[in-house]
Amino acid sequence: MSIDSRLRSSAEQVREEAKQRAVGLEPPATKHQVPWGLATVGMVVVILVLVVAALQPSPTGDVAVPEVPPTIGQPPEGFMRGSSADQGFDYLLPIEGWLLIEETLLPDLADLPFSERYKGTLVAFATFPAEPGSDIFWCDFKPQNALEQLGPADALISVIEMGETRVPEFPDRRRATGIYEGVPEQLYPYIGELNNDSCYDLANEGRAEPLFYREYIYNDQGRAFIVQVGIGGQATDETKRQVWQIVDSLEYKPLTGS
Amino acid sequence: MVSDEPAVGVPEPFERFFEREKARVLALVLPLRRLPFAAEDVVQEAFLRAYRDWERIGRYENPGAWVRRVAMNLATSRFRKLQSEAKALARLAGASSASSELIPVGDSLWNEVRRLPKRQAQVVVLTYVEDLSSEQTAAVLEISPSTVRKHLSRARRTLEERIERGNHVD
Repeated sequence: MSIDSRLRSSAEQVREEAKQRAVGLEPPATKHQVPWGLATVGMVVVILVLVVAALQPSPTGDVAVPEVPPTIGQPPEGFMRGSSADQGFDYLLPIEGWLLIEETLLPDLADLPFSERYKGTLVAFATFPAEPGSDIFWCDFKPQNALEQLGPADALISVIEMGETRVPEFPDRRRATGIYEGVPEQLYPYIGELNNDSCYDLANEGRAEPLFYREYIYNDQGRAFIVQVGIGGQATDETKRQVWQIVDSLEYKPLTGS
Repeated sequence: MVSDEPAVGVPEPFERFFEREKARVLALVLPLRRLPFAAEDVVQEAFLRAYRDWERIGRYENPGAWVRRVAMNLATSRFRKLQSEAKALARLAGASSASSELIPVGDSLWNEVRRLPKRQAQVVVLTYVEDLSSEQTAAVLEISPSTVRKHLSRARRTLEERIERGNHVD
C-alpha cells in the first residue's frame, strides 16, 4: 500500500475517533472545573516538569548562564539608549561591538501574498554588518543570509512585527510565563518560544560550529512580535549577556493610525 | 485567499461555532499528540483563546481557520507538550478509569508523523485528516502553497524511507 493510501486510511480512523471523543468536550465558558485536590496534583506535576525542562542543557552548552542586569532608568555602563519614533520602540545597545542594522533583513516579505501578516523586520542588531535576504519559501522569515554570515563569536538579534491577528495567539509579555532553552531566568515571564525546529536545524546546516538560533514570540502593547536570536558557539559570556540585555530592553509603544 | 480575514457582520454565537468545529479541530490535533487527553486539552485552549476575543475573531470570514492554526501551533509546541501531558497525567492520577486514556492515538504511522519536523507534520495532518488542498492548507498555516507542497513532498518521502527501512511497524 502506498504512503498516500495508508495516510488516507489512517486519517479516516482519526476522524472517527475525534467524533467520539468530541462528544465530551464542552465550550470553554462552561468547562467543567477540575476538583481542587486534583488540580493541586496537576500543578505539582506541571511544576516538576517545568523544573526538569529548566535543567535540560541548551544546544550550545552555557548559553543560558548569564544573568541580565535590570534596564530601568539610566542606561547601564557601556550601553546607550536608542529610539525609533517611526516604529514605536526604545532599546539599549552596547556602545562598542554592536551595530544597529538599518536595512531590513527580510525585504522580500513585503512581496508575499500574505504580507499583511508580516510587517517585515522592525529592527535588528548584530556584532557584524548583517546583510538582508532569506530563503523565504522554506522558512518564511528566518534571516538566512545574516545567519550564514554570523561568525563563531558573533551574535544577531532581529525583531519582526506581525499583523494584529497574531496578538491573541502570542503570549502577553506582561503576563506570560514559561521556561525556554537558552533564555536567562529574568526573561522567562516575557516571552514564548516559536519552536520552529525545522528552521533551527536549517540555521545550523553546513556550519562547522553549532549556532544557537531560536525564535521567541510575544505580544506587547497590542502588537505582536517575533524576536530571532542567533549566537555563535564561541561567543563570549559578555556577548551572550549583551544579547539578552538588548532583548530585555526592547520597549514598544502602541501604534495608532498605521 | 487568506481565509480568516476580518469581515463585517455579527459573529455567530460562540457555542454554535464550538459545536460545529470541535470534532474537526480535535481530529487535527489527535495525530500530533501522544495522549488523547493532551489533545483535548490543546483543543480546549485553542477555543478558549478564540472565546476570549470572540467579538473580533468571530467576525473573521473564517474563524475556523484561525482556531485550527492556534490549535496546531499549540499541538506542536515542545513546551506545550510537556505542560499539557503533565496535566493529562495529573488528571489520570485521580481518574478511576484512567488506563484507556494512556493508549496512544492512532496507529504507528502517526508516531512517524509526530517525528517529522513540525511544519511537515502539520501539513500532513491538514492534507489527509482535514482533506484540504495545498491552497487551503497554506491559508490555515499562513505559508505559501508552494511551501506546503514542498513540506508534503518531503514528509511523504521521509515516511516512505522510514517504512522501507523497517522503522515503521504496522
